[in-house]
Amino acid sequence: MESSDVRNFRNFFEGVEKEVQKQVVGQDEIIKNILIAIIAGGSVLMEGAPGLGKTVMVKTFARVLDLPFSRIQFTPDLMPVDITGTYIVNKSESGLTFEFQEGPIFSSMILADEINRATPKTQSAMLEAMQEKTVTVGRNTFRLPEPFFVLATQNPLEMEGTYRLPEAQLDRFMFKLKISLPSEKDIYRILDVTVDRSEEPEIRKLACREDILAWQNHAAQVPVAASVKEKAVRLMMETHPDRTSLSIVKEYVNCGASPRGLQAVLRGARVRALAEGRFNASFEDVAKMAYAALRHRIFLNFKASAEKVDADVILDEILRRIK
Amino acid sequence: MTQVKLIRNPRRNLLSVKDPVIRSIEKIRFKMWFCAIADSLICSALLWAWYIFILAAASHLVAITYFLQKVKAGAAAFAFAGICAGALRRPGMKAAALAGDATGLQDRLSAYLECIGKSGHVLEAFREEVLEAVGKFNPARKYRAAICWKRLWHCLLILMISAGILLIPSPRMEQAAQMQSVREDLKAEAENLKELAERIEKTSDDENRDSAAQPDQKLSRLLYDLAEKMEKSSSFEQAVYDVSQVQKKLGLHEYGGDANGAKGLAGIFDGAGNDFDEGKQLLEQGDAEGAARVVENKAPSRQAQQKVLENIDKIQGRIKLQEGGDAERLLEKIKTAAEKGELDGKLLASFLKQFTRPASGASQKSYAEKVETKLQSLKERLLAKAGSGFEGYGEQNKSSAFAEGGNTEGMKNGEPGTQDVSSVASGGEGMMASDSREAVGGSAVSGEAVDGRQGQMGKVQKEAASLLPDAGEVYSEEVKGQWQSGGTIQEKKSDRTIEIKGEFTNTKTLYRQFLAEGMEYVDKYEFPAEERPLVLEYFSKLNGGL
Repeated sequence: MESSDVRNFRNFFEGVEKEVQKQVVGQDEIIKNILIAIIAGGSVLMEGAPGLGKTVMVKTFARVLDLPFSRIQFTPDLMPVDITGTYIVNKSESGLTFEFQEGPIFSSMILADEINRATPKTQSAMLEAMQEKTVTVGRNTFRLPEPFFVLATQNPLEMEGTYRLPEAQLDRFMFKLKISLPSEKDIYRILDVTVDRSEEPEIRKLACREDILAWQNHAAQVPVAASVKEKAVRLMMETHPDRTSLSIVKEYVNCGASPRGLQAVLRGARVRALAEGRFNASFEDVAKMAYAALRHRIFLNFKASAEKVDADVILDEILRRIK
Repeated sequence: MTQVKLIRNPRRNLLSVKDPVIRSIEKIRFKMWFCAIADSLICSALLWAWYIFILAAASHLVAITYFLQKVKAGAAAFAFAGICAGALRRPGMKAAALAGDATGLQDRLSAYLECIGKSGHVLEAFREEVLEAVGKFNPARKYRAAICWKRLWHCLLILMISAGILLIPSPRMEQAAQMQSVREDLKAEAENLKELAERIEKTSDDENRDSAAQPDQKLSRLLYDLAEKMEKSSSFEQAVYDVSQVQKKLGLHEYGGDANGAKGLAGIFDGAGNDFDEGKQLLEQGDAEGAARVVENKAPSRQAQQKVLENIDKIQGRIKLQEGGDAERLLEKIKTAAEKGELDGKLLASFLKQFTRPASGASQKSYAEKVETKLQSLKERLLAKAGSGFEGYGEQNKSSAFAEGGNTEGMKNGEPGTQDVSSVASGGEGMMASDSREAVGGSAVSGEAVDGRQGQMGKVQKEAASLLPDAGEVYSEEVKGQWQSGGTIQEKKSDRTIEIKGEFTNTKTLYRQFLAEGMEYVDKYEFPAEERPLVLEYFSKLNGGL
């Protein structure tokens, strides 16, 4: 890929967005952020009520990007081996042989539906896969295919029979996106696309696995000015109640974002800059990505829950301070 | 797409200024620097305004001379400091790039600077994109420096308040104006003195390079010191006093003896008998040489020797002889001889001759005379200015008393009431002021001597005037006045009795004593510094002029 191809990234990005928007209506910002996460090489935790098109969205991305897709429905009785795979005994002419049977995680795009319904033991099976891009079964470690992307969903309404994701696992997700009810106009369009039309819209393949990997490589080279990095570091530090002067952080935050969160912010900012047609990440990109990358990394206290103060409000204050 | 040849500048590790992006950053940098200087200047202006405010406020409390010059000097100093401070705040390229980014370039310029020297497809695309953006956006033009105009308004406000304070009339400001005028005059005189000192130095270097040059250097040193004192002084009276001191030094130390010194020696023969009367008279006339001739052949009796010894002890405290000089040595010899009863006329004559012979060569005497003349005329000028400069005539107050903050009510001709002894002006001291008593030398009708020792100077003068050798016939009721403004001497007739309350000693006796001792007589008494020149002048005139 040459510099002229780099300049075409915006077109490519917009093309993918448009293709996905054919199928998923009213979730433009979510589509954009998921695509950013895919190119930045991260995973996404999507929180939203059922029926908002989460599964369709991931499927559509898999079709547009021409990537292998797996769907795992998380339930309380789901076992780790159901995700990672296991060794099975094959009876052949030569005798009994152990053969590794890959689980659904051995795919490029994984939809981990209702991830909070599985037990922590099963949830933790995803940890290594999301961070290391490997799976270890027994004594053997298997490399997952590149690119690897997990889109996990969780339902914020149903709490019964769910297991809240531990902080360590939340930190593995690059972004946490809040999917909300589309506008009235968009819902009409959803009806138009899904109910009134007998055939599904035609989704074109716009890229392949190699293209995604190349874009990931280029995105990593997008320059970020030292001043922007300084501000990003300040942003992260300000989320910690013992490092900030902001009263709102001191009052409502238990623990701030990790350096992994900062990495996620900058990786996302780089891709966003490319998507905007620029070749450097500005603080504006950092600020835009901060919500998605840090909201699940800021752990609020009970007072915040009681007063309905969420992480986005905290980030608003911090960004206002830093700007 | 703009194609730019990227040239590395190894010294500055930057791209060549031919690069439009770098050029743009340089322009912003220059603007920022200019603004930093402007900002520093505004800060300096604010400080300067406060400085003027403090000066203006202080000028009502203390007399501040050369106010305008101080303001100008302050402006120059603060402007210089402001420019220097601004010049030191030269922004770096990084700061300039950040400022450029703030105009809306989304951190492109700072990232551009950091990417210099790096390569890659993305960076190449980035550079081209930045060039394009800079070409369209022109951040150097859009950059607006944040100058704190509020400070400038603050500065103007303080200046206006200061101007208002300065417009309020104040006695201290008037005093400062007068002091400034006096200082200007004194400086001009000091310059003349310095020129004279320089001339003396040059002449002595050219004419006489032997040991005789040393006293000339002392002479010029004295003049330099006097000039320095005068430059720092802001009072004519003080300057006159300083001039008198120098005159005295010239007369006593540098040139051994003179007519005044000889007159002071006349007392040595008091009670020594008729043999020494002629010598005494000659000494009183200042003819030490004649006295030496007369005394040379005399052989004083034992009683006369004892009297001379007593007289020496009396006058030794009053006359100042050059330390280690011949005169001092001879005086010691006379004392020893008188104690042993071996004093003869030759020894006395050799002592008296010390007061006729100049200590150094003719040229030095000539310098001394010249300097003496100059100093005398300077003193007279200063005295005249002291009279008119401080407006002690007519119906105006004497400014020295005014400056002291004394009660100026009822003052006339610079004669304050007796309440403030330190403000005693020339002539008599009045118990109360009266418009009808204009003469400075005259005493007030109701004037009472507050100090028996000094008595009423005006009345002493009145009587003494009739005793002056060349005074002719002077009526006892005629009081010799002093110079009035305009140069006239106003004399006044008094119909009051001469008898003065508190006068213990007959004035005739005092006058004789004065004639015998010369100016040493005056030196015995202590006067307030501001009256001293006037007293000295009075007695000088009484003594036939200095």
